[in-house]
Amino acid sequence: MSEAAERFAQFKLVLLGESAVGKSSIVHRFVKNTFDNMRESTIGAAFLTQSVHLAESNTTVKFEIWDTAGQERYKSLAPMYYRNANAALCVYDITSRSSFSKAQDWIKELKKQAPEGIVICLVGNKVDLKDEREVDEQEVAEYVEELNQEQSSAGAPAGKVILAECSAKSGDGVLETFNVIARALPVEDAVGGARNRQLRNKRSSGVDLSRGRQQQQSQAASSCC
Amino acid sequence: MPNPSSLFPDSSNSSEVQDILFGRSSNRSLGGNLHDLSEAQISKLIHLKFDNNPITLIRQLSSDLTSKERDLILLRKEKFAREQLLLKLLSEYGNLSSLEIDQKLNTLKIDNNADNVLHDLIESAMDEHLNPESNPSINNRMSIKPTESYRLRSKSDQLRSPPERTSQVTSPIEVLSNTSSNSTTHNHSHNNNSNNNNNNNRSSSWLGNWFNHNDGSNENLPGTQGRPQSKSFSLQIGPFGSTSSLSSSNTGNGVNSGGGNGAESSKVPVELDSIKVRRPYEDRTPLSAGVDKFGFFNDMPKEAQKSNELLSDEEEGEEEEEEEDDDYDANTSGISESKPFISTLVETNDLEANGTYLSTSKAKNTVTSLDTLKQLSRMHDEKSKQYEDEWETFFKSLQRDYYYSSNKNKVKIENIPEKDQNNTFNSLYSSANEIFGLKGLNLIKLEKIINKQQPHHHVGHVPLSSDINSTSYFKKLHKLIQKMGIPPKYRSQLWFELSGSKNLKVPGEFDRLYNLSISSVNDPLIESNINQVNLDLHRTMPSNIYFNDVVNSQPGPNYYRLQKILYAFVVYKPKIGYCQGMNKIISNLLLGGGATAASNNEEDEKWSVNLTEEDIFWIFVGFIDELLPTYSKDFKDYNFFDNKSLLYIGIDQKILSDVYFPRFLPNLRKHFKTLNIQIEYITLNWWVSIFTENCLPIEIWIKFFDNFLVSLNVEILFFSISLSLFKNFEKLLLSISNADDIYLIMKNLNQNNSTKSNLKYSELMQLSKSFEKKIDGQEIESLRMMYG
Ligand SMILES: Nc1nc2c(ncn2[C@@H]2O[C@H](COP(=O)(O)OP(=O)(O)OP(=O)(O)O)[C@@H](O)[C@H]2O)c(=O)[nH]1
Ligand SMILES: [Mg+2]
Repeated sequence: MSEAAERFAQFKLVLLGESAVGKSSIVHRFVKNTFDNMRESTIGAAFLTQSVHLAESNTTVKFEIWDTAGQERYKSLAPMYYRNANAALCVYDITSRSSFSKAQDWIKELKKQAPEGIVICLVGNKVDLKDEREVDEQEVAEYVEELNQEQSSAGAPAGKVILAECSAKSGDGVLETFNVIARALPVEDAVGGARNRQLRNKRSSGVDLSRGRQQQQSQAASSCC
Repeated sequence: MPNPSSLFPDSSNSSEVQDILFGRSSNRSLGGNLHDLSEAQISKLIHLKFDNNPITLIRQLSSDLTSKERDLILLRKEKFAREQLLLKLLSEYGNLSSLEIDQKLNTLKIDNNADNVLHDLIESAMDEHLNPESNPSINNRMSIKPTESYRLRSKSDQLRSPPERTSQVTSPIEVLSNTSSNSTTHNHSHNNNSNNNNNNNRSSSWLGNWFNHNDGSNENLPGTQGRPQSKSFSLQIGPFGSTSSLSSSNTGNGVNSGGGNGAESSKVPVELDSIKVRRPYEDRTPLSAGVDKFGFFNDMPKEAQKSNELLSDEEEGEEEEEEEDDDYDANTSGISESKPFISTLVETNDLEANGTYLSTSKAKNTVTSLDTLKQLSRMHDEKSKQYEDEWETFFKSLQRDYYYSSNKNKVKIENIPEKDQNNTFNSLYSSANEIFGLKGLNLIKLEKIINKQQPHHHVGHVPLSSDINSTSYFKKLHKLIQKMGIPPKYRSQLWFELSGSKNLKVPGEFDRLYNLSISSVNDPLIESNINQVNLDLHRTMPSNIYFNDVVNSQPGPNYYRLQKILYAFVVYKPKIGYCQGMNKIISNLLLGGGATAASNNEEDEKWSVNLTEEDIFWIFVGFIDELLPTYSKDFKDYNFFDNKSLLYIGIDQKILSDVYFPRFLPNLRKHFKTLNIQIEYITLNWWVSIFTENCLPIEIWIKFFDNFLVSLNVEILFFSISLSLFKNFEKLLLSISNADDIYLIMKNLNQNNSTKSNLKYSELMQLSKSFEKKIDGQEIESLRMMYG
């Protein structure tokens, strides 16, 4: 592996959260840098990709993004998408209390069911609607801190929940959020040199329903050359 | 049959057409090619339009010039600002250095041959998808039927220029012309012919219809004495649609001045984009530039762009197939009769071009010889006529047998009232309550009755058409529908019967349910469903003018219909409730069979009953309740949309990917396996949205819905359609070795042009039929047990 070569890593990211909190809007802000009111509600799950470049490590991180439907009844499909995800965005709407508790539920579920080492980010969206804020920033911070303390006392290595706020509408904080996630991902384990890049393109780290936690772990390891 | 390649002459050929439209001079800045007119024509123009006062003309020209200049200044300014912003964004988000950007930009070469540029513009105009917000032309050309209390206001009413303002420059490139020479008169005669033809032949082109309208309008013009002497033509180039937003008061109505009010609708200029609109049977008033026949803005959704780029890279070679056989999807809009306008044009150098450009959905090489187009459109018309005739024959024999069966042979064919004989379909409905019944099963009953009566059947009467006699009605109905779907004029009636709604519908119930839903919502279950509906209403078909009236920035009529139907449904079936995806299905039904699908052809009006939201509600209920697959577990039946069903739908996807996909598409499966692609991630979306979500384009979906209604085993059909969609793109998919790209393609089928244009009803149906034959319902049952 040569030092100078640009490195490339691909990760699967899933978005979870109540309907209409703005999951698809965040994704579209991230992928196309647009926001429009012509957005359709998501049925099942949508798929998009986008890369970010981490200058400090000269690494390009490509996200395979699975944007799930927020309606309660589609909840049972979520495992299919997060089962082998490397990162999860739990989105709530800062103007809706109920959406925050839904996001908390998702974090709970992820901690139980998702692959170990999944990077979880709790994102409050729609910060452009300051006046209608129902979810207090302070409160969220305390919740996350508590959560992260539990985590470390349980002796788990990484796995801290990342906290973020953004507005898909104004664009504030969206790219930053994905950048933070990219940095939190085990890029070192997953990247290879330029040689590996081709290989990676061919062989998606894709989706496999049957792949268990064990394999998930070894996948990250094995993809290092 | 014309050689398909001759349809797409190379650019040298098409620039000829351009010349005709734009004049041979490169300076076409103003008033089209007035300068190319003969002196006599110009003086005629001055005489007719400028009260014999050349000064008015000069004033007009000068003001046009000024306004155009102003537009250009503003445009330049806007472009500059945009460029600055883009540069900023590129360096911020694209991680591109200004050096890299410069390098890229330097490779950009602007063709300074104006003819070439024009040619490209025309092509992209037909291909390009106008951005609705930046296209005020929607304002001017909206022509939507008033519905209930709701009506889309046509801003052209307000913006219409006073009669003395004869021409308005609407966009940097616009051809305005007007001649009224006697020599042109004979050329219009065929136009009048086609007017008559049009009434007889419903399937004749809407374009022809438009021209006829135009003729009519001319009769209102002072000094034309009922003879179409003056014609107007204005042409807008798509990409410039956005620039016209800079000039606020243009109407795009060209020089058709002094027209009476009655001519309003006819003043729609020929728009390249509206010509692109596909019109199978319906003769409808062209909606607007940038809006297709179902009311969708021709704006390619942004998410599709990526996979679109991708496709155009990889699929180039596969695009040359012609689609002339596919009657419905052929993009041929006929040009009424005899002599094509363009040849007239060449002969007389007359300026009344009729902008008869067409485009195929593969609009790469599109500017087409009009003769060929005319031929194509005639073929198209003939074929659809033939198809309608088949239905007509079918109905005729059905009608006869119903008379016999219900009247025990007392009624002779001669006694069928004359009007009924001519109006087969309607008389069927007056003579019997339910001819087809749910899924068309009544036809089987009818056959039984007929078979009993057989000995008397033929005595003294017209023999049944052998065609019908040899196959059963039930099968015949299936065959007909499989062929090309239900003809639009019969669709609403048949949907109503085949879905079982005719029996389900309880008068007044719909309104009662709706009123319940808005008055007393104590039930938390209902309430939560209504909440979800509310979240989705404005997120349903936001790119469709009937759902989202961007012109007046308010919801469109179908928004309220959808709301009513969903509210009522949630109260009607609280256990099922609302499930995201239902909104899509109902929207498609509204567009396909509802009031917005109305035809403006009187003849058709008689036939087709416009389905109200109440009817659509019952059709939806029938579809959900009687037709969709159900899942049974522990002796309980779960509706397809029941909360619990999701699990079983998931199991069906597993069966699809583990059993049928490998069995019927082994190569693709092998390919997918190496790429680690699991088709459940694609097909599950299709299933839960009944193939609406990013799957089948609406015009095809409607025909599949026709099939759902007569299908005796809908789940087999679901499996087959899913397989067909993969089969349809097998070659393409095999050529792609990146999993992400495959997901992007298959999860955006109706969103990007290349895949969309490669979806054809007849081909998909053919594929689907072949899979259907090989899939056994019993096997599905046992597989479900195994995987469950
Ligand atoms: N003011 C404001 N509105 C937003 C923002 N993000 C999204 N919205 C709006 O919130 C609504 C829902 O956004 P979506 O992105 O469709 O929500 P979703 O989470 O994907 O919803 P589902 O697909 O149903 O799960 C839309 O009307 C958006 O316009 C934001 O940052 N600010
Ligand atoms: Mg969404």
